[in-house]
Amino acid sequence: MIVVNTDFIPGMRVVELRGLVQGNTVRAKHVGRDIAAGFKNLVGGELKAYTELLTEARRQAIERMLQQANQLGANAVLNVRFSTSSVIQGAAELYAYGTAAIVQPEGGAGDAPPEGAIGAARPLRQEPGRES
Amino acid sequence: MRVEWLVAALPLLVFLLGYLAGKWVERRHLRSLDVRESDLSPIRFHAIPLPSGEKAFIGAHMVAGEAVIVCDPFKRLAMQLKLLIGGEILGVERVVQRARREATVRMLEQARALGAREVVNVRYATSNILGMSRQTKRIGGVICAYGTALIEAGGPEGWVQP
Repeated sequence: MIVVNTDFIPGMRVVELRGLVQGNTVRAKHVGRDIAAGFKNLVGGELKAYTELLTEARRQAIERMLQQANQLGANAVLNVRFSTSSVIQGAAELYAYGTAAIVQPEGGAGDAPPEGAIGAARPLRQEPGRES
Repeated sequence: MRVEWLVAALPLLVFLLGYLAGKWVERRHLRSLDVRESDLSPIRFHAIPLPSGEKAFIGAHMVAGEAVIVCDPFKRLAMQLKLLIGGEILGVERVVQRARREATVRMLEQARALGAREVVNVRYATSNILGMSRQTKRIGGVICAYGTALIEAGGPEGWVQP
């Protein structure tokens, strides 16, 4: 499963778009780690526990997004973005969303990517009659 | 008499500790950032979704880095004063900028682990997790930097698209 932030993948051609896929997670902090972070507050600096929380939340949100993409039969997720929201007092949600797509290697089984492939508009073909 | 003075001086000691320790921690972090940034300087990154040159790329993968950095009590006190008189809050600004640089460096380290030399479409996101603690005495920068690492043709041997 290819996951990218852009709307193109070098050397690949988008065959079909499978729609928006998303994953989110709402996480709370362990109380003990919160107290330990309180000590760190005395001198400033990085709160590693919170950084790990953020990393875990991001990883889980992306994993759920990829699960959805798998269910749709896609092999790549394009244009991934993150968004956060404060859903209730004291909790924050991390939301990852992107566009699931089926991609194919461009051209034949050649070594070099075709000319004009970089940054060029991708040929986009949607099967007629398919619901998005 | 002396015990009373010590108790009265305790908040001042906390702020003095915050000021000195905070400055030391900040200086050490900035030095570490300088070293790591110059180490990662061959990796180009920018905010548009197109590669910067005419190179041939064979693959891409999303990379991300996070950092959560808080202010010490002295910076928080300075911020409270600035909230009264108005103006730029330099202490908090420096902390958030450090968090941004740290998140960027971690993203570039992930890109380097993939063997990439270019990261495109870099975006920055923040989060409200510092407001999660009951105390709400945490002021700082929570930054997530993410982008797409592009791997060049003729890059690392035996590279496989993740």
